[in-house]
Amino acid sequence: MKRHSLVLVAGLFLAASSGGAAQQSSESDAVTPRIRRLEQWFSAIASHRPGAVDEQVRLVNTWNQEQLRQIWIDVSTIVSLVREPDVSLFYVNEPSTRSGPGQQGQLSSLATSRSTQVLYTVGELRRIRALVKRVSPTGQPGPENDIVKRGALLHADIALLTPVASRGVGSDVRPGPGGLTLFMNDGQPIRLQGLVSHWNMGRRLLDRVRPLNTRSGLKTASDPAADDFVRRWYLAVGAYMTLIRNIETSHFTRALELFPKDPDVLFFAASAHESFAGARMQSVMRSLKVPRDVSFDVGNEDSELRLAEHLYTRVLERNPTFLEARIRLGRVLGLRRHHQEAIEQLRQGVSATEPVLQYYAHLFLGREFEMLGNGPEARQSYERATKLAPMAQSPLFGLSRLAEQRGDRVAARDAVARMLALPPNEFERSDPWWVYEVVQARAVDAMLADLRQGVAKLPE
Amino acid sequence: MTRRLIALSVPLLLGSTVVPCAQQPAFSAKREAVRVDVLVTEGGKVVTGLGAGDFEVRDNGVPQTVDLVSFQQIPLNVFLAFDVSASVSGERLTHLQTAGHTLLDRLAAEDRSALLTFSHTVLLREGLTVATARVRQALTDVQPLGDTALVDGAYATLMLNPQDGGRNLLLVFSDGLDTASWLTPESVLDSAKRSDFVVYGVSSRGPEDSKFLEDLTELTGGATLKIESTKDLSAAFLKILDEFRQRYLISYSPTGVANNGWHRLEVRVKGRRVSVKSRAGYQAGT
Repeated sequence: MKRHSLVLVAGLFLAASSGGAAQQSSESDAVTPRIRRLEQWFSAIASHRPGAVDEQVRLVNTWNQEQLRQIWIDVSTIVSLVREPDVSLFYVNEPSTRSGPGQQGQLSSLATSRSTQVLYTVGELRRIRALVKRVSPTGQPGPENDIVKRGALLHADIALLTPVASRGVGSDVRPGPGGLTLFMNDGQPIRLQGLVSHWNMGRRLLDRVRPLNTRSGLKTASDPAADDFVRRWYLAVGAYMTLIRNIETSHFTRALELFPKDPDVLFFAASAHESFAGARMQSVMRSLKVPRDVSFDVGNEDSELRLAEHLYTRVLERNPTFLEARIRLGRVLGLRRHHQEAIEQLRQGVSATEPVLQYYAHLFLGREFEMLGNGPEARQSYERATKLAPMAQSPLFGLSRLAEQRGDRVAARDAVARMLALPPNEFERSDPWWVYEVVQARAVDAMLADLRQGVAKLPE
Repeated sequence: MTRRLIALSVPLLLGSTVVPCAQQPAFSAKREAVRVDVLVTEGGKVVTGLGAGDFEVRDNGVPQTVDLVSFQQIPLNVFLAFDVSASVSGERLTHLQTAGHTLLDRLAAEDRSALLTFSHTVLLREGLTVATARVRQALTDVQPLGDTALVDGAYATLMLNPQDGGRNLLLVFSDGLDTASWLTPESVLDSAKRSDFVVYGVSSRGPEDSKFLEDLTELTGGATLKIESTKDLSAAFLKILDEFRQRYLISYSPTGVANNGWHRLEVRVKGRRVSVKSRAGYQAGT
């Protein structure tokens, strides 16, 4: 799929001071559909109850890619006018595109290349200035950040709370927050479909955040990387994408651009690449047939593992106590056949406080010792994993294989018999290994709740 | 397929008068009989009527004397290992159940069957039994759910090897990619070398995604059947059962070869240009 992002070039907003004379293409004061929709959007973000499927969510979810693009352009205009009231020329920069993937993949966007002037009628500009006044009655910058944050939250809620099937049609060749989504099931591509991406809309809106304490750049320039809400939004959305295996790589790419040193952001990006190296994604990529100009940012297994290793290493450089990252790094090193290095990481990982993390550390240690031919240590690790998760089948398989390797068929069969004697009930029988690809997102509910509480209430 | 039946050698049979010797482990005096399931075809048709003298067996390149050949005489142990992950739902499940029932209907009274299913969970639904009605019911009760642990499921079934002298057929069906197994394909292929099964697979996946199944069936002397649709499952299952029934079971006591390690097997029919399919070898000594 392709996505053509729009990025406002702040410097160009200051290009003229002729009172908006350049924009007027009509003198009409009538409220155009574009402005009506913009006003509806403002009302929606003001009255939307974060986390609820309310009228606002339903309404905005009906809008198509072009309509959302217009919203974003006009919100950007408003943000610019709050920060620099004398701006009178408005430009957008249409970025070139690059493809990106996902469990239901989305393409990421890259550098900008083509700027376009945005034209308003006198009447439209008057309504827009009225909205500017509503956003910032004092004329001081700051409240516009709340607008884009509330907007990002609304669009995140649409993506979170409404079925994908209800999404508007998007296009891979038109600009706007849409593109091709790859649907897959059981390691097989099902279909490519052009859809609006509300995650993308949220990202575009947050790109306009400029905290008040930002010192650098022009007054209209944005600095989203300096805002903690933006960071938490990227983390919560990234966690949610991980949990539901619906990943837009452009989300993680942009998160890394904004927060290249943040251990949590690095961690989620690393885990995304770790999962891309897995059988599910690799199988899809092998069998996927797409038009020549469409590609996905998923490499082969080896390159994805290398990237994951690199990112986990960066996490640990910044936060050596991040044991979950250490355990995952250990697994990745093992997959890359660096077994001794893997063991070094995993040995530290066993001191994690959460039992589920201890389980992973011991389970993976079992395999690494096995790979190095250290049967006794491998057996001990698998036994510890079994104690931590008595209903798990994976360590029992590990124990069985170890027994067989040492020629003890009876013990090998006994371990399988233990596994087969576990309760057949799905609810009683659980193996954390089954959720390894998504377990890093286990705090997503708290992350989203924190995000929703952290956004300012707006006057309706 | 191999079976390591322990056959006492002549000196030990006579050893009742030499008590101290009889108490020794005396592994060197025991020989493992090796059993190999062999399918012989000519122009796509099964060749019948062959006897022990018609076969030429080489164990690690060393010619062996075939002691015994049997054909359609030994009861079957049919292990069904079915993928019941979420993708096998609706019509696919119905097709799978119908195919399983059809196969069970074809078993002889003395044949035994078992059902193991795998999604992310590996479950023994019904252990080896002559009561096919119980296996039928277990298959009817299946509810698809979750991911696919094909490799783990295959391994668990291999470990069920009953070692009762029956002929072990493992029939694996999967429509999915393995996304949940803990064991690696390599480790399970290694286990298959030590097992006593002929594995047949039925898959609707492409070659890359069904590589494990193809390797497993190749190694054990079976075959992987590709189907376009689960509608074809019944025909595939019956084809496998018919083919398995028409295999020869040959047996020999290895001579002139090591007691352990990997033994490469070559089986030919003397003086005829026929196609012979058997397992690639067997792992001895463990």
